[in-house]
Amino acid sequence: MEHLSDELLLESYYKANELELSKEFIQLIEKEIQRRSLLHEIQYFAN
Amino acid sequence: MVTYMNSLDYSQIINNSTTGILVVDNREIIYANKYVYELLGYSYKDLLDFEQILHSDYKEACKQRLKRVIEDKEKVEAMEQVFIDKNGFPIDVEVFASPYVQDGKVYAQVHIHNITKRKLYEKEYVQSVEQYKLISENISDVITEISFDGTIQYVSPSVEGLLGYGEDEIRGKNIYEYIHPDDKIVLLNAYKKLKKSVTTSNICCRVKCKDEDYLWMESKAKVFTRNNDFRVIVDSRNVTDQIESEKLLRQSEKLAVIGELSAGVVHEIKNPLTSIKGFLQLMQAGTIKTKDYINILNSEIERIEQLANDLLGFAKPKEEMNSHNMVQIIDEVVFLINSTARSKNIQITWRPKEDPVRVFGDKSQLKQVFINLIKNAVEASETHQRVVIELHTEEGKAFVKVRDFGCGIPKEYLDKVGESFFTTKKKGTGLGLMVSHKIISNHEGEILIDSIVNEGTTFMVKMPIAR
Repeated sequence: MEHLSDELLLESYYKANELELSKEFIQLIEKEIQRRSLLHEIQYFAN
Repeated sequence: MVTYMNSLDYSQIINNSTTGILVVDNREIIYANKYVYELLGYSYKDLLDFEQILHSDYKEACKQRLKRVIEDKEKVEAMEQVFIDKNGFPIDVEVFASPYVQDGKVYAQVHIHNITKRKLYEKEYVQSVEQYKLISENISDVITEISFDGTIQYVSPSVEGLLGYGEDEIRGKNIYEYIHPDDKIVLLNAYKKLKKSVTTSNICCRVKCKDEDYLWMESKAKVFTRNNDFRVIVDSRNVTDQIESEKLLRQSEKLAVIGELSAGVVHEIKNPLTSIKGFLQLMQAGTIKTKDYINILNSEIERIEQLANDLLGFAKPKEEMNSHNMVQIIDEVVFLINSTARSKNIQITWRPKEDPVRVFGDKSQLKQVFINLIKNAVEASETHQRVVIELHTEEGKAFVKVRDFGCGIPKEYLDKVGESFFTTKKKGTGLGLMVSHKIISNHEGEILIDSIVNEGTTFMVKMPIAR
């Protein structure tokens, strides 16, 4: 996951939610987003 | 210069002699010196009867010999005979005779040596040889005497039962011919030690049997000097069964550790799998560009692969003594244990050095030791504590410190750490550290422990650096 660009990471996050992929996968991406301090980018979505 | 004096009283000289002298004609003794009387316990007044003083076994031989002396005027060679003293006890003597002529008549002059003591020594000697033979053939140990160049000077007959060689086959050969190629270095090191005024040394190495098999032998070597020559006396015994069961113990202990690690490892595999699965689904949906995600799939797969390789490489017993980089060994162990540590929120601090630190040994066994030590440290730690691993080198030795900040080990237990079945863990067997100690001592190193209650424990592995 570390090798993904920020842009692709966020895109994956939205798409995964859209397709209702497994919770674990979405959590994994969230974790990486958090690690990169990009949480604010998805805040409105998560809420 | 010697002057002969005719006036000497020869009869007195002969009488005083400390060998027995008899003069015998065909039938009877006509003269015996004082020594003969004393030897046989007769008084000077007694009459000596040849028939009586000679043991019946020698009568015939004696008759023949007397005949040769008196009739053929021959000297007869020394012969061991038995005389009987006044009390009827046998006395061992050596007898020889020569003709003595006086006034045309031939007599036999008989010289008698008392060989009772010699006979006794001979008997003792034979007995001790027999006893020695009995011992040396029946002991299970093999005793070898080796000169400093490695030539076998002596080997006990027990070698045949153990290795299949006859004594004569081995004597004069060089000891190195019989040592497993991988163990020659062990022997060489022991020799160096012995040369440097250390008097005893214990080694364990594989020795070749006649049928080309190898047996593990444990040997105790001791230096001694014989005729100003340095020699080594070696007492060796077969420890193959012991080594085999140690190996089994090591292996089963290792499998137990793998079992304990597996929970963490599975967890570690789960994350990359989730991620691979997720991205594959994204790709299938066609919503993202496949090309962008190839790299991430690759790296997740590599991660799983490395874990699998690490675990497999550790589980398989390879038994290869080689030069290994200690930095890499610890790297791999930390990678394997990190999963377990992370699930407990314990951070393993390890800053690998750039320069390799080479040690000689069995990689799988060394990994087993560090897995044991680091896993112990993780288990001894509370949540959010650290485990610190350090590697440094000093005077040809590599030191690896594994430090935890847990509850520590009370002083009274410190000595017991490393004994089998000693454990402070609820579910421990106490075998892990015992096996670790054994492995490190096989690698000519040692494990030192330092612990303060409530502050933590440091295990230090000290090992020689490979040249």
